[in-house]
Amino acid sequence: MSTRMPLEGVRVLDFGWRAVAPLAARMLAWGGAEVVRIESSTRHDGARQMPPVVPGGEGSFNTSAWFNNFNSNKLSISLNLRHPKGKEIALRLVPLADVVVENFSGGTFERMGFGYETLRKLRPDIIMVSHSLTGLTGPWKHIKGHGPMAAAMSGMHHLSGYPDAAPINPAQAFTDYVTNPHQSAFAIMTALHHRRRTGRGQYIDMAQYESIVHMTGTAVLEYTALGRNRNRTGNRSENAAPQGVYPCKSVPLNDRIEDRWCAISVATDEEWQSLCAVLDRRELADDPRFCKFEARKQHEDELDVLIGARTAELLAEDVMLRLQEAGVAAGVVQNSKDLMDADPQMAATGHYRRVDHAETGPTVYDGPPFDLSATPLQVKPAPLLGEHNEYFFREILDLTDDEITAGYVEGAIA
Amino acid sequence: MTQPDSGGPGPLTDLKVLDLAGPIGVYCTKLLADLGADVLRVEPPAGDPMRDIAPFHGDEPHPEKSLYWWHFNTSKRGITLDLEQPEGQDLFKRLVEWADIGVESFIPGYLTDLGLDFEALHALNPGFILTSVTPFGQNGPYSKYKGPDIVGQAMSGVMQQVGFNERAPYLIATESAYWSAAIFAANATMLAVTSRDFSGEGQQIDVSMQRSMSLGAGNAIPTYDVLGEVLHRGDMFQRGRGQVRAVLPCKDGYVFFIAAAPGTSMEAVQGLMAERGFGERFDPRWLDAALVREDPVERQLFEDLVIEFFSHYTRRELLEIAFNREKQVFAVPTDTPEDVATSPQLIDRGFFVDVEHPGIEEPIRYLGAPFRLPESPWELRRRAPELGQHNDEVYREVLDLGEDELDRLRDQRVI
Repeated sequence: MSTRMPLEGVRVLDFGWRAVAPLAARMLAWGGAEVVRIESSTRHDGARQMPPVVPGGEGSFNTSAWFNNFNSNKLSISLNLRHPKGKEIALRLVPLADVVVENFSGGTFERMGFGYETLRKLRPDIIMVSHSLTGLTGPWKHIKGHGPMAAAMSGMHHLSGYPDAAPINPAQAFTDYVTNPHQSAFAIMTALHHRRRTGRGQYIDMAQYESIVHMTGTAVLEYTALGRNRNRTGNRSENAAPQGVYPCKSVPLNDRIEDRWCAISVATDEEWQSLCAVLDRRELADDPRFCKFEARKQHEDELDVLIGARTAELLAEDVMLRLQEAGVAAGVVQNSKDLMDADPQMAATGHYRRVDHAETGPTVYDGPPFDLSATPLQVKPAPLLGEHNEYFFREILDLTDDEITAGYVEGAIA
Repeated sequence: MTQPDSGGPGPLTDLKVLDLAGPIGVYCTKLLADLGADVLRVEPPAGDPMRDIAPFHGDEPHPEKSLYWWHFNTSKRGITLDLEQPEGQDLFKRLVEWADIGVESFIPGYLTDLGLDFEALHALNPGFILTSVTPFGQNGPYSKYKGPDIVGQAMSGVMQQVGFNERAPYLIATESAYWSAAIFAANATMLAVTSRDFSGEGQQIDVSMQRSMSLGAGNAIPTYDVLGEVLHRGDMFQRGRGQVRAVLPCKDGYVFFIAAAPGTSMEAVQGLMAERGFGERFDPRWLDAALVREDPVERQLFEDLVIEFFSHYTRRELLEIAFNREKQVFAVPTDTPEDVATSPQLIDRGFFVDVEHPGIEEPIRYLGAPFRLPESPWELRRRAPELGQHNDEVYREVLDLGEDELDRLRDQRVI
């Protein structure tokens, strides 16, 4: 007997684009929900052609490794929602669904004819989530754009970066990939929990701005409680000294020389002693500038120079392993190759899954970042665009051959 | 702050949680508590180390004044219990019989040494869910390594992509590795709760901070997998990969600006500039966004003009003029904590909650709901507990202990 997955029996209609809504839906799909992407080649999700594309797969909607990783475990049907019949077919799925997710710009989905009130008439206990930038109400509700804009507004950019330079946008759209989709998936699961007890669905207003403010919350409370407007502090911490990211020996990588770095964080005087021993700088251990926490805090700049001069002679991996074995927190600033090829911890946890896919062949997908002992989660390939049209149109919606043919001919199924 | 205990309006009022999480998992239990679960914060009799985290109210180090403690322990009740004494372990087991969920972040093996591992707790309460949140997970060669937030960020593959080529990589604020672990702990816990609804069985959840944050590495992982190319932090900023995404100075701070990217419009930038007397400075060839994307010289000329234009306006003025037009220009303020606390949008939406504190005249403004669940709303039901604040009510109501018993346990420093 196969294990019943946690969300088995839950059907999710995923009208999402790019990252936030699709990733929220991916968490539900990992949990065993039947998640169907409703998409169209006429207005396809740009993510379906987002780089990297698997070599040889250029021009296809099914070969973006970025898209496939973000849409594992899902099904796909192709419907042109701007075509009256395409829209009608999509609405016929609503009574059979439990959850609807979307992340069009605020108000767009409603104007397309999929407002919560419309869906609720078709399925009174539906749970729907709209992921807007700033919320469905308020004087800024008209502000539209990309997720990282909400990160800038929430203080994340201001608080991140070098104290002597302008704030910068932290590269990968972290809040699109981690923060907001998983606040959202959690919210959906609590709403499902509520529905199991009360029979009532609801419309979740997920403002990316408010969600990300929950990452900068301690800084906001510092302002409201103490009147202090915190600034960025680079890699330092109030609760550790030294703490930083230190240069290590560079290594060749593909066609370049890769700079290497190791994070070190010393929280106690005992750890300081261990650090000096491991780095062979015993003369510093009892130096009055450094031997006590408060003193080290006063001399952080000198400390960083002294430590960096020593770590630069060593391989980053050696610095980490030797310090951790001595009880000092340290970690290599790893790149993608380290994570996938070298890191024995990631390998031991089986985090990355090699998943076979009809067009790309086997590629690596992220797995869930946790293990469940009784219901281990599986990772399955992302769907081809429209791969499950037959199943949904014929078996679930019971459309006739003529209706399906007409759908293709008229461009409703496209 | 109207309800005395659980029984608030949230979706999780039927769940009872034992909270033993450190900073790495505590946002998970805050979410559960603010959504209505009855969360018991279980502290050692000497107080939780989280109470020592700066800053403090009035800048006076004091176990009841850590803002960190206040922020992450809203809506919870607090009890003290010494897990290292046999009698404390017995009391804990009785609490496990009462509870649905435990969330902990001890070094792997610690609870086993105390006889409080998942198997032992499962035998007492087959429905009990144990969520363990640690830097690297319960097993594997690094499982006992120390993992403050900076180590999680470094090891995740995210930090390597953050910063400039010629400088060190840097942290994403605030404690985003801890935060990643906690949000996935919350997701995993709800999956286990859902599973238990039909199986009746609890389970053990093993959350890794490193794996959690690694989901933020974005296209670095597939790019290495399918192309063999290792992305470096300079790629996003200095090689102009794909689009203009830059923090640019304005009159009173900085603006985050996106252009030549999907969903953006060069006509909008041109139109905004034309309305404000910069019309002839905008080179119409830039209407072809690919030119700006791909030609570094054109990109620089474009950015220089945008910076000059922005220098005439404040962040709030730019927000006004960039978005109150049919075709919007994606220029938003890189706001500070003060700006967030006074944001007209957040205030209009009733986001903040003012919380009374004994001995402090003015109420203190806390964050509100991270998302809106209108049928079962988030609620900040109480401020963070003082040390042992709910010992009497919890040990009497939940474990049915008498006065003499409580006195004895206090004398022996079990509670």
